[in-house]
Amino acid sequence: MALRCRPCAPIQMLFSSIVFLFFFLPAFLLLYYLLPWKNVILLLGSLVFYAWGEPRFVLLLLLSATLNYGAGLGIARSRGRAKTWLALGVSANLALLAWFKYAGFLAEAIRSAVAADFPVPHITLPLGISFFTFQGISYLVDVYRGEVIAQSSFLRFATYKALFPQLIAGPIVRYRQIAGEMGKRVITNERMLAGFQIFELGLAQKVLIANTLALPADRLFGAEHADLSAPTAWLGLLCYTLQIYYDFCGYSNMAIGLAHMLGFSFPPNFDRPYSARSMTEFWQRWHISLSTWFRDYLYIPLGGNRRGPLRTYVNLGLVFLLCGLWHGAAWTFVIWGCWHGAWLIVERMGLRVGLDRLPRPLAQAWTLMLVMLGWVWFRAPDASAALTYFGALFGASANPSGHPWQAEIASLELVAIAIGLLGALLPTGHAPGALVRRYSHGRWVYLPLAAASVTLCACALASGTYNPFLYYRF
Amino acid sequence: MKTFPLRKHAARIVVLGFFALPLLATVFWPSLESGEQRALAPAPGVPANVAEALAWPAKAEAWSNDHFGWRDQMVAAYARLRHDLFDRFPTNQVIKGQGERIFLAAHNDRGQGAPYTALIACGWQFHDHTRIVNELKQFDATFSARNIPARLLIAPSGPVVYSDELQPWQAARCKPDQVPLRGILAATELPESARARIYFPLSEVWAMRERVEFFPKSFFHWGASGAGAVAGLTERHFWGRGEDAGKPIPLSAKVRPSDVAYLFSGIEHNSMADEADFNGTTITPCFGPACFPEQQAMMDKLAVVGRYVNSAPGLGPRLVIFSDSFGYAGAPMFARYHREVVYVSTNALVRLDAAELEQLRKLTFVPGSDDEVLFLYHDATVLFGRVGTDLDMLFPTVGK
Repeated sequence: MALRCRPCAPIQMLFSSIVFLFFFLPAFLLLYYLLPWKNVILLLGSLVFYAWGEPRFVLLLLLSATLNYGAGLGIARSRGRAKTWLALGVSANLALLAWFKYAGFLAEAIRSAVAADFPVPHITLPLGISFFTFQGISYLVDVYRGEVIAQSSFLRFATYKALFPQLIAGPIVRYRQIAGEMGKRVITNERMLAGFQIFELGLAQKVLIANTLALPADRLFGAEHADLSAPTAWLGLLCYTLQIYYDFCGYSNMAIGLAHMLGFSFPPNFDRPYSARSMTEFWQRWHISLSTWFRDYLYIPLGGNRRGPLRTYVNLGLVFLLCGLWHGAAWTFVIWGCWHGAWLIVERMGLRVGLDRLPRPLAQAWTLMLVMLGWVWFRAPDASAALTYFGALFGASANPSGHPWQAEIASLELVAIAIGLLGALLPTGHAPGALVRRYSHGRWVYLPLAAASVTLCACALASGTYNPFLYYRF
Repeated sequence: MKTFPLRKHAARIVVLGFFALPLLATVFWPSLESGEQRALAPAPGVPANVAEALAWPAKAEAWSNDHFGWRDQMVAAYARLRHDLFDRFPTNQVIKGQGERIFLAAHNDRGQGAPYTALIACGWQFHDHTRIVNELKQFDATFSARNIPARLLIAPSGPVVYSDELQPWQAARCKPDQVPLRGILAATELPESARARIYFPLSEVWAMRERVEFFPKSFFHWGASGAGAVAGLTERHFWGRGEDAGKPIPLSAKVRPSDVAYLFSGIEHNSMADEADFNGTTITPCFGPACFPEQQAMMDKLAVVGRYVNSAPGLGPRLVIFSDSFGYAGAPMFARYHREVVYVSTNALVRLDAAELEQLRKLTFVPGSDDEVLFLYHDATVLFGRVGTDLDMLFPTVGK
């Protein structure tokens, strides 16, 4: 799952790729089901999965596993120096993340700030490092807090760290959430069917909706913004809003479904966030594994809302500043984080009460608009592109008829938008949410539907591999 | 003996079996070739060193994307579904117009690029006015300096000739009186001598649209009747030959698949299209490198070449045509007016080395001959800079 290519990511084995669906998955599942050494197969399969895109970073992944395994044992076995082990472990995790993800960004920022001229390191970002770093930190903190027993088997711990369904794009699965399943997993028929059906749902979200809307979103964000009329710019933003949701939610659902097929229970990562009535509620529904991670391992340790309003606002601001940075080392992500943090603070100051009194559709529309405006920062390659896109959104384009919306959006995209909006906006408890929940329980009766849907998605993916060569210079 | 608990594992067996189907098809019924006009990715092989091992996944992925089981069937099924439900083609290189007409809409590499680039002929995001004017000046200067009476025929392409059959939002942006080539040819920077060498018969084609089907409805290229009509216009415009010159070439019309059908495997778009039928005429057609036995090695590289010899008396001199893919149907239709037509596609000009280029120039530009020389391109390719590109290749300047 690529939130955005910045810098351009190397190849990776996506769940929604031919090589994963048609080759890796059946071969892996066959070995996993047939052979008795489940964790060995799972670890090896996960390393192959990771190595597909990042062969040279496999060692880094194993280093991270070793580091956290050792620090976890250190915390558990030397209670007197548990805090030291915790500090060492967390610092090492953060140091790895800081080096690989932020060193270049920081160096560039310092160079600009002091107008100095020194070389900025160009460091390749290892796949999934943000996810497996947070995973490691949560493990160490949970062991320190006594919420989970440190894992004594390196094989089991390394398997958890490398577990391929959640390795490169989450959800951020905490060790304590699957600690029991690292030793023994039961795959009933119901669980297997549920896994298949949830995987299928995610695949359809990703392939049929997100991929369909990715093209117009990319084209409109990549167009000359001065050529976009306000309605065209809003349509582009709507496409991106739905694309990012169905892309990420779809990927999370595929991960959750795969986990079921392997005998693991991953927590849900999305709960129809665009139906939220406030930004606060949005963050209770969007990327839940990340927002709860920040809540449990940063916001609450900072004091949460227990130390008065001012401290609460500072905590919220800091958490969302870091949340923005977590998504990417760029100022646009910082601004995106600050945008969300600022609205959460404003809601704490009293806006939330006002929103609660509004009719539900109005509060939803307000929240969705704020979220959409935030996505401009998230999607734009830099601040200046974001500002020109804002200009287009608010009708400041010099040549608004230059790039008509029809050039990017036709009946196919309109249907994807309609289905996407329907699935995203209806509040919990309404169809299709309830339908999806029933569907996800794993029943034989839904199997033909799931199989047909996977077949359709597979055909769509196959279609993407067909690249006829037109004489380039007709 | 312990029996296998089938019921207990039923879901695993069914789901795994389902996922394994394409893998089994890959093993037992592999896709070995495709109609994509490109070489499919080779098998990745066993890596011999670390560098090859690091590059192996990308190669394996390319191979798997090209060779997985039932690929052709899946591609065709999905293409048909999208086409029938949403009027969409599997590539942005082709769009549906109004009615039965389809248009080649984008000149990009394998559909991986900006859409609607072919609509540049209508002015869609065209910003290179000055560059193209300079290329037309270059055309004039190049041939004036060499005393070669070369002419340039710019054939209006489908979106310009049938702009009113584009989708409404496109038609609104594709007015025949506002196409960029009109402005370019009227540019004050363009010398009169250059203008005299160039012919862009859009008004004439529009005037004949009701009588002549210039482009079959599902074709990117023109049909023989369209090419024949433009050949007649060109002969009159450049060389003053009228309807009485030569005998009309008979045409055979039948329902044919689209000439760009390989872009949309699984979807059928056929239309009535005609071709020159030289049976019983005085014209001996020859197509392919073998038509030029003395230069066959060089012509093999160019591939799309032809020679049409007309034994009827009183015809014009040899005509040498350099062309893009429009020459394939266009060149034969000039054979009515000339004792010989030599046709060379410049699509593969880049493959020739310096010696072969010299050989080509000797064949096509004969000093002191009465040969006529015609460069024939469609409008979109001219607006992409094809004239300058081909001139630079035909007459390379050292140190340029």
